[in-house]
Amino acid sequence: MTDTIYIYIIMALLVGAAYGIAIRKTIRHQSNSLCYNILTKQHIKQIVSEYICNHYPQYQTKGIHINWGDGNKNHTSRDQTESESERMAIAKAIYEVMAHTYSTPTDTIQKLAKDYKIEEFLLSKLRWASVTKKIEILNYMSTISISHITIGVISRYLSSRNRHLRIAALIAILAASPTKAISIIANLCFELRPYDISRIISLLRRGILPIAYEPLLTSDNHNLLRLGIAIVRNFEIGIADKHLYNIIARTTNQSIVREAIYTLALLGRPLGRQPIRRQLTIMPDHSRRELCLHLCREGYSLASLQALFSESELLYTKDLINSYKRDLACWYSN
Amino acid sequence: MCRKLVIIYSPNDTAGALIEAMIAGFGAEIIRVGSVEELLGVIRLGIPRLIIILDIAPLINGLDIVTLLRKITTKALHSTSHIRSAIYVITWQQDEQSVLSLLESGIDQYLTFPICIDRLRNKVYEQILGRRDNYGDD
Repeated sequence: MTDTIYIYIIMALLVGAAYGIAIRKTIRHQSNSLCYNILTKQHIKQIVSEYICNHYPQYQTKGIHINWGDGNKNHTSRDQTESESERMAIAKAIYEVMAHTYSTPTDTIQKLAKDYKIEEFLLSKLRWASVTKKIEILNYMSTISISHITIGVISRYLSSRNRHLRIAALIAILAASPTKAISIIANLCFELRPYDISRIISLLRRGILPIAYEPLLTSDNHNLLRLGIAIVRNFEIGIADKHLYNIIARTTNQSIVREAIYTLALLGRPLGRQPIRRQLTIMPDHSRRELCLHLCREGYSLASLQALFSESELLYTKDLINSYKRDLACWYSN
Repeated sequence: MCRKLVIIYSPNDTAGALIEAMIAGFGAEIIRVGSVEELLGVIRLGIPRLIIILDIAPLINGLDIVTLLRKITTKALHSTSHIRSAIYVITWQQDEQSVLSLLESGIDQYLTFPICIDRLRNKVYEQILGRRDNYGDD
């Protein structure tokens, strides 16, 4: 009996100790996150303030001035942790500024990254980090200039089983080697998905990738074709419609054909041509219905839809078109 | 007289801090808020020259925020202030329906990320100095 009580007391103490350690870790993590967020915001303010002061000397911005200090100091273990937090906050601040802006001169940012050895720091953290942290680090690397050695290290993640890690590595490599973008994408061993394409388009919007769309639309590589179609769609390049018609005529890949048709619909081009009708006949039923509704929302008339779809497929679409027109009539009459 | 107040509404603190840093230095008071309640509370204290919204969800709460803000600022325009508050929306969404629905609900500018710092500063500069939509004396 006495032994049992002792065992219960010891177990209770162990559970209490474990609980206390967990609570302490949570509080510490939250306060570190809070400090980290505050640091990141301060660095963002400093980066943008420096840019504004350099380009608009007449505006002296008021803000929290950080003593950037020297990133090469020798630190004790606690100071080293704080320095690591600060470096990570700087990396995140650079990423936030670069990801949200375009045409921003990067000399200040690259100098900052060099002074604090952000590339080396991120590379040292990359190897033993969790997958989520690796993706975060690779995203940060896509906004600083990295060396060929780092590109070589990152390249092995292109064959990772985790597709988010693959695309994060791809974006970092494309940002570091923009002139080789087409050959890198052509040699990928995986198929790019719509989200992957949108990440590459975001690089284009920031002015980092100098890619012309025409060679992509005449390529046989599926990834390059997808990217070319996405560029036409995102930037609404109307003169590329003839290339899209050619793609629909010669390509057998249904997903690429589908993207080309949807892009033509966005551009408002006629869809009654023979290659498009032929592709529609081999499309699955649910894809046809989906396309029919999409064309209706894009503003195609009932007459043009009747040339492409059957009466049963147009049943719901007719009601949708009629209801929309009825609303317009009521609005105008008031 | 309308003080030079700029309110930035952004649930994402980092994005709000970035925009605040971009438009600093014009002598305007910049307040960042993270919720609709805070935004309405700040507006009741003083009608701003400019409201920058960084988070919008059209057809869910986006239109309501903008419509509500328009009602409040238009009412203030007719009663006390002589300056019409401008509403800028800066988001990642680019589809036509979202843009049209927001413009119809009364916003003045719709900008998308990534954004040019110079362009945003020029627009805010003109707005704060009252060269746009200035219905009365400052």
